[in-house]
Amino acid sequence: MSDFINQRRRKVRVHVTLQLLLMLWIVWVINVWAFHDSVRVDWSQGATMEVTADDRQLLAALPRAVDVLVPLDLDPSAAGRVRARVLTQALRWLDELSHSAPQSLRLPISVDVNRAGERWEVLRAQRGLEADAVNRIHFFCGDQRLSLDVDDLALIREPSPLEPEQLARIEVDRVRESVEAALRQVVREQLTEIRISQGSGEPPLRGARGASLVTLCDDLEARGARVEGVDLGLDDGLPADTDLLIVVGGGVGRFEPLRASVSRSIDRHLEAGGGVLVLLPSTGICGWEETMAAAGISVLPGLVAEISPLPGGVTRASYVVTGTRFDPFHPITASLARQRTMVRFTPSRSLQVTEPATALLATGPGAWLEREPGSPRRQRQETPAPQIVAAAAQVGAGRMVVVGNWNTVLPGSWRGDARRFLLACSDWASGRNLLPAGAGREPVSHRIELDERLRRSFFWTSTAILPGCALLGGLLVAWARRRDS
Amino acid sequence: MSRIISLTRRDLLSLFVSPVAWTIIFVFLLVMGLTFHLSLLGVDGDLRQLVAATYGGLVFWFMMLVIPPLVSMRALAEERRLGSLEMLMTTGVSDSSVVFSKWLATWVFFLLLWICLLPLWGLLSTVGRVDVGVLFSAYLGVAMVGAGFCATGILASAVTSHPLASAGLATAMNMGLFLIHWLRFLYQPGDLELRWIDHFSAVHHLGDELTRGIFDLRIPIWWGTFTILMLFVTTKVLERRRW
Repeated sequence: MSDFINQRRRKVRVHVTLQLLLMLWIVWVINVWAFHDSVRVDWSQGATMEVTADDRQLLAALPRAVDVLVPLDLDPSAAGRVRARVLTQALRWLDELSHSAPQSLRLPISVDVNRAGERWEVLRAQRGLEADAVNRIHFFCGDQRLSLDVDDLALIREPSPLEPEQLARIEVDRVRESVEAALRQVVREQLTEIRISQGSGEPPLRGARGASLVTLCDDLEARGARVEGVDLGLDDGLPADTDLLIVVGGGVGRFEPLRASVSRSIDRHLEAGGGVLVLLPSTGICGWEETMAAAGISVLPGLVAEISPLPGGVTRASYVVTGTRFDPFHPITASLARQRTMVRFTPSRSLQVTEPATALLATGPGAWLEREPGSPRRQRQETPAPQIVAAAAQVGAGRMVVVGNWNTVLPGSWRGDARRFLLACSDWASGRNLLPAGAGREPVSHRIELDERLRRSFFWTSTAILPGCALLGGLLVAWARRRDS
Repeated sequence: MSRIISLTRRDLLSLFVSPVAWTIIFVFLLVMGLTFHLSLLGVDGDLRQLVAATYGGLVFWFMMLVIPPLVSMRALAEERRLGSLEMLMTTGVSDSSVVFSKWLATWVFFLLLWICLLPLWGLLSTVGRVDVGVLFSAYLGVAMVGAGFCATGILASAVTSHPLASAGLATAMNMGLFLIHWLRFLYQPGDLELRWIDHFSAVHHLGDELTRGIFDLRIPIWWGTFTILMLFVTTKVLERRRW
């Protein structure tokens, strides 16, 4: 009898062990299936993290795996916190995309350069990044690298001397669009070839940061371009592989008109679909007058002056000009037109446009043209506002953009809206739109005003009324039990 | 089914007439209420960030790890210690029904605790825009992870006849599940192991996904299958007395 019971026990143990193993196997199989074929939905308002069919198509079309590195070094100020929020949102979006196609887009690596300095140094050496390449999203695909700045991801309004009480806030969120554009760009086999015209009197491409074009070059290279200098005064023409020629200043008044051979090579460049971005000198000629005239753009003599507000409610006439009126239909300015963007020039030339050119950017009503620059003073006979400070034209298959002044590309001025506008110009002129037109959305705010009354009422509700109800319930139950017993 | 419902009702009633349950509710609301208030100040009134701050902070995880074992510790251990479990079994109720109803009662009580915090969201919705989708997904996460943690509590309660030992064992098991998340620092982004760790990590599910409004089908599948597995093992532990 005892043997029989022991035998039954052994059998039951084997059966139970087998049942447990079978259960474990079922759980494992179900989870493996879910791991490979899952469904993700964004239930938040606006569904900003919803991966659409277009996004999946983009990821599926990536020919090689893309790695992403985000080194963070954020300051604790209000503006720093807003910038951190933009980067965090971008990281989350990259996470979402990576969940959809982990083989095409690897999970982004974020590293706090202050807390994990050694790790940052290792990653920096591996990827060949500069020491100050922080607070950017770096995309890597093979040897290609492309970086997005916070300003590319969102339009952030920060307090200014004129509006010191203004809170730093995100005005337009374009994280999705910028990441998408960066992914498209980074997997391209060919780099965008950009030549910067090195005429006489121009600042050098590299060198001391204050008086060179080093930040412009860094930004263009971070966006997937190869930047080299070209001396149109000495060279016979443009290299054939040039996608975009940027003319900075054009000689600051001492530039000779282009030689015939150079003119011919630029005509060929434009006919072949290349682009030219001319940043005008403050005075004199730039040597490009004929080419610009053929595109319908001419430069008026003199400088634009404007009455600008100063802190304390006073105003002053000066050559500091703010371009505020954007062409809402042009690909360069369509998105900027909706975003209260302001591009400041110190100073700017005035342009006149005829067909086929279009005015990209003009001043507000307080500007006029000073034909003989001296101390600016508005007089009745002077040309009324608005003054055109940037224009663009399609020349055959090529594209030309002319901007009223070149100073903006110097490191001290290369930031904010001016940087965004000029990068949009170079993107359009090179035919590689990194920042898509019309992109972005206003973020939905879920912030409430925490006034004293709300704080007090919320504090008492959360720490006294709710727990007090529980205490009262417990006491009632205790009283009822005592009564029943 | 009617047996399960009546057993669950009986267990819930026995929970609500005990002073332990009311003490748990009081302490829970006091601590979470204070956390809620401090989080609101910390996120400077941003109600979307408040969801992640309230349902993803240290205090939240402390509550998630400790409350289910405290509620479930007496479920089977106390019945066994008092000998009432044998009496229950003689009424013809199956082991699985007993286990399921005990788990259901624990889980419903656990959910009620978190539902008690909803009036605070109601108060905030009178002055601002609460993202209902994000709040709903966060509560769904609390319910799913809580179901798993309650199931480990029931299993621990079945293994031992001492309620405190059961609570300690369940907390240790929940802590193990919670600590899975930190294995991710051993791997690099892109590693398959990392993705599997994220698949099992409660911290990842709540902190990175559900409190941001992202619902992934993997989460209910993992926590659902885990809960069923734990309840199945508990049933087998109860059946052990027959062999």
